[in-house]
Amino acid sequence: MGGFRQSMTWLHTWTGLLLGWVLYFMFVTGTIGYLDTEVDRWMQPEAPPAATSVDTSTALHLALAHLGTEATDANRWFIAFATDRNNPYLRAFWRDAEGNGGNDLLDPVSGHPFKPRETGGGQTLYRMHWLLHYLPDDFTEWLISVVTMVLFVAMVTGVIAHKRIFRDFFTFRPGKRQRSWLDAHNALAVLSLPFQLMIAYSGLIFMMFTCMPLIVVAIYGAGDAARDRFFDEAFPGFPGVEAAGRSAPLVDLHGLLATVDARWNGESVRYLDIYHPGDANARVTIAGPIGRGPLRGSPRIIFDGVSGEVLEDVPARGSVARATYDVFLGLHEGLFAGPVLRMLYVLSGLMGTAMIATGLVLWTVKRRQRLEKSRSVSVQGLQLVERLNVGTIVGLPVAIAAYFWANRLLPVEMAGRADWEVHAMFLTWAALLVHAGLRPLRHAWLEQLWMAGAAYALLPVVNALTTDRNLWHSLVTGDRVFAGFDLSVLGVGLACAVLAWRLRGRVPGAAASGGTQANPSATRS
Amino acid sequence: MALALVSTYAAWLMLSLSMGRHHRQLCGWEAIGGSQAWYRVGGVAGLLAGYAGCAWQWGWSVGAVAWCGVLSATSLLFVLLLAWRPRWAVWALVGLAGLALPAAML
Repeated sequence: MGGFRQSMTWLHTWTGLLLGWVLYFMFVTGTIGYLDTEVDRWMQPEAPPAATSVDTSTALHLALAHLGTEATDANRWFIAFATDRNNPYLRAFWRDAEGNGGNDLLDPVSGHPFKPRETGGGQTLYRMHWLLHYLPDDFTEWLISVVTMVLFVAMVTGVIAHKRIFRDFFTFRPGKRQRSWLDAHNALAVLSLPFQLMIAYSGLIFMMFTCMPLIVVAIYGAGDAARDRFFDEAFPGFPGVEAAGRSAPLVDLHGLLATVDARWNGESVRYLDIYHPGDANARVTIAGPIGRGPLRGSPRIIFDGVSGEVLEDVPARGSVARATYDVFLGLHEGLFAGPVLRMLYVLSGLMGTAMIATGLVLWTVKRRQRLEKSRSVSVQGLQLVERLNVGTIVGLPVAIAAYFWANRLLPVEMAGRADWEVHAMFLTWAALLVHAGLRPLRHAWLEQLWMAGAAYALLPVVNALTTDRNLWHSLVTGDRVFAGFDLSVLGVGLACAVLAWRLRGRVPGAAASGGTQANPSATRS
Repeated sequence: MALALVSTYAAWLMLSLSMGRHHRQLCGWEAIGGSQAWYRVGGVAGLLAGYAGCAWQWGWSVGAVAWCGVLSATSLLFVLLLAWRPRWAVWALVGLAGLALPAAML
């Protein structure tokens, strides 16, 4: 058993170290992803307050009026209703045969489109969770698949390597260097283990068609056409009919809404998807609520767009395999979570993030301690990891703050604004990695923590100076999204500042030997 | 929710009292023989009551998801208090109950 556990520990240590920084990036952006639409709304301060209680038929009326004037020659109309935090605004989208079209958010009262500033919003941060950035999609798909696999391996080997899960369940002994980092790493993982295992496993399910393509190939054959055929059958999406070329009036959509209301007991309709409006072969798909549970599918009914006849009634729950798939993906995304459950998701995500950060620091502390006992440890490798740790564990959050600052400070009319927000983020991160490489280690930690403190704590000030939706205004008017964002970043900033203040005398990974940190080999030469 | 928070926190407290090291940390004296088994039973009951509370509010399936989240949240709070302010760890239960139960009744 000892040999087995030792080899598991080895696997845990090295897989965790090798991909720990990518995992940290995925956990940070993924945790923010649980608040994606809230971040979207903060980053578009011009948008009116979301009104999700507007009656569906009024909203349909407004959206049709907009599409009827803007999108007369489109072959697809898509109307998404403002239902909840996942979809806070009424949205009209259209495409014509050449692939041109538009995507407008509509004011819930007047129906006029509003054009908030161009921004990547929370969606861009959320998409980085599995697409990273600047890299070709095929490459990232494979990289993320491998990283997810490694996360799962690290979780399982970590549980095996942890000798005393139950006896040390409540154990955290602060102020004891390596012991404390190990305790913290263990406690964070064990106390949130169900969440972390679920995330790792369901993450793999997300990537299953990338990591295990041969299963599809075995049944459907190789090549893109076969792959497309599999996806069409496994995820039946849209009615594949061509336009007839003869015009025919679109059926009364309000009537169709009444039909689905009766079938779904008045549960809210999420969207209408209309193919070939005004054509004899028009098709209307109406999708029902996404459900109050983790099964993320929603029922859909496909109508003939001229006669209004029901062509297909697709239930939310398909085959058992499909439902299993949907439940895992639904659990991972947490779209069903209300405010309280969403906070618990965020807390679990933060615990996972801290678990990875403490694991990365633990690796360096352990080797630093060995080095002090003058056992042979590669100093270059250790220093590299120490630098990358500072530049990622603190540097990445500072870079994300830079993304928010750029959203407020770049000129509103600037071309390519959304891209520059992201460039600002990655430039900041690159600068902080360089900073971490150049400064003595203890200074690098402290300075970057102070930077993080300032960057986050001052965000509400920047917001107050550049918009008319300052924190006081948000609190007085009960604007939960803006007040929540401002107070959260203020909290993060203060936490970083307190940490920096408390660490001013000592630093993770470094003993109190002060100035020798930059060149530990000097002490022995 | 309030029931889940209070009962799972109480459960962690009882489970830790069933362990000699933490009993000394929390109470300052050794556990009396035989009491440890009762703490353990109480702790498990508290965890189950937490699930009941979550299922009552969210239904059995979403309730299970929420339960995992509540377990993480209350155990994290408890472990942090136990490490830095062991005496507060006991009083926090009273505070939690005092805040959460009236909030649930409103």
